[in-house]
Amino acid sequence: MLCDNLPDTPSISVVAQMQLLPELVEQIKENEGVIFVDANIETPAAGLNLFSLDDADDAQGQIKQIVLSHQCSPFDLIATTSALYGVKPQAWLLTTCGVNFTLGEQMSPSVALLVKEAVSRISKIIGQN
Amino acid sequence: MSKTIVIDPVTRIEGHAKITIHLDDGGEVQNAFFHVTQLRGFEKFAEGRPFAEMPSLMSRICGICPVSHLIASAKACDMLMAVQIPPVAAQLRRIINLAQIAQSHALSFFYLSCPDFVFGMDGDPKQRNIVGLAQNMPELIRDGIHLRKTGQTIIELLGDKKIHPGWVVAGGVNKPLSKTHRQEIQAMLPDAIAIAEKNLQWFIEQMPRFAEEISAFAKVESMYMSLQGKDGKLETYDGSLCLTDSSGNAVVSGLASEDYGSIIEEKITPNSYLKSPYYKPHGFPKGMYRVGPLARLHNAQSCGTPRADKALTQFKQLNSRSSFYYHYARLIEILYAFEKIEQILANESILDDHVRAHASPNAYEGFGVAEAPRGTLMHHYKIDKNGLITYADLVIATGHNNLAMNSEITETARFFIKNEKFTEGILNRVEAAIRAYDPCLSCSTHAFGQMPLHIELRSSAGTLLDDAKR
Repeated sequence: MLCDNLPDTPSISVVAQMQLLPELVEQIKENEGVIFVDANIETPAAGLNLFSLDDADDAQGQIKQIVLSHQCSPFDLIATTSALYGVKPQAWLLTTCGVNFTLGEQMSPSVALLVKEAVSRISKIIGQN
Repeated sequence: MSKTIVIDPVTRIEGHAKITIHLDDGGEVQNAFFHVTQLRGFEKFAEGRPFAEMPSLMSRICGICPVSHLIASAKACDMLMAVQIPPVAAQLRRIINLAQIAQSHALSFFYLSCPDFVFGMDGDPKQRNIVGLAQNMPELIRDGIHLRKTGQTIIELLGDKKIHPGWVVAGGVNKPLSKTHRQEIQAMLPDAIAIAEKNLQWFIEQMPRFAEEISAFAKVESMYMSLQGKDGKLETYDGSLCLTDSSGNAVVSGLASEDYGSIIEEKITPNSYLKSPYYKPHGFPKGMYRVGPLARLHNAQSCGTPRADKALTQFKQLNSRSSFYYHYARLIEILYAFEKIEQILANESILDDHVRAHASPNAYEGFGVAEAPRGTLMHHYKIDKNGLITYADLVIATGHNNLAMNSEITETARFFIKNEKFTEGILNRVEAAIRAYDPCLSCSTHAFGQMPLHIELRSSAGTLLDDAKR
């Protein structure tokens, strides 16, 4: 839903993933900036939360247990990109609290209401950078 | 006073587990257990679903080896339809299965186990992880990423998605391979083969540093089970079941895979959601056997591809009793997988467009057996006259290894823990004993029951003495 609403320009590529994979570092290294968008059950409930991942270099402090398989985090990917390729794109995490994670094609209603705001915030980040 | 040491969670494996190590009054290891602390329950909630849904449903069991479940499930559905799928469909399924095996093995070796091989078992835990590897041996991780990406890309080209792909269906696959995709896959293979061979050589050079671990991990006497092709060839998609002893003598050979129930029974134990299959004629727990890369190569007379065959000859000179050699076997299988894909794609018939057999249900019971990255995977379904699932039983690779893993950690703990003394490095070695099996606990936990979920260090009287959290 978010992909359909984001601007379709050559400078932006949208990657829809069911989970974050280590192999994404090869794509990440080619870009100046990365915005991770996620609905997470552990995020505080109200609205959208935007985090800068600029401190991702401090991997040892930020990440207690790195297991790049089922549990790859945006921090892991940025830190690994930096370590492997010497590049560190600007990175953000835009997240909200997810409600319903069962099989289906629709977002939870509370998350669907946030799509317009999410698109606006992503567009603002892209415009400023 | 006796104590129990607990490692919870076990790190750098797929899923959630804990290990408890029980010391006797003299401070020596009496016993150790591997507890799987998650419940999945797919066997139960598949009941009532149309059988044709099963491949898609079952592939959701796991995000690491969804293709394995897709294939075993589709094979069971083929039997429910009583069809023989077109030969090209079988070859295409074989390709996606091999790609799955390669990428899964790459994950296990490079991301989960290499921190130990690079930094040593006593290495600083803060460094003994993927970021530490990326900072100290970036080429190694780049190679691992490249191999994973190659396997994942092949899966995506065939099945439209890297994770939980479709494409493999009851009766075959749902579309033929295009010329373009074939060329794209072929173009990736030479690099992947070269990288696999290079890292296999690197690992062989590291092995002498781990002589103590190789010895410690060689205390478990078990049988070895796998599918096997004609003339004893390594086989991952089809073939018949074989079981050998530690010397390679046949215990069972040429058994039709759907008859596995005649030799294997599962036991549910109270301390884990992971069932314990065993070889029936020997009873529980003596009927212990291992599956996976170590078993497949122990049983195989040849691989059928040139570089892997050369590597297998060298591998056969070792005592494959040591579970440390699972890592070695994994690397050989990565090499084999890409070589085999190259061989299959070289045949022009792979582009044939007849890739699916169509039929309604013609049998009430179906079995599907294939080799997953971690070992032999079995799906067994029963349906009613409307084609709805009434029964599903999955015997998962990691489940087959449950008895062996429990024995492994007991023996490893006995080897290293003396007079109640244990260090971070020793606990890492106990974990490493499990990690060698590359257990996938997301797949393997379908038994119902109650279980504890916390770290404990207990006396023989049951008094909590200490925690060993990690």
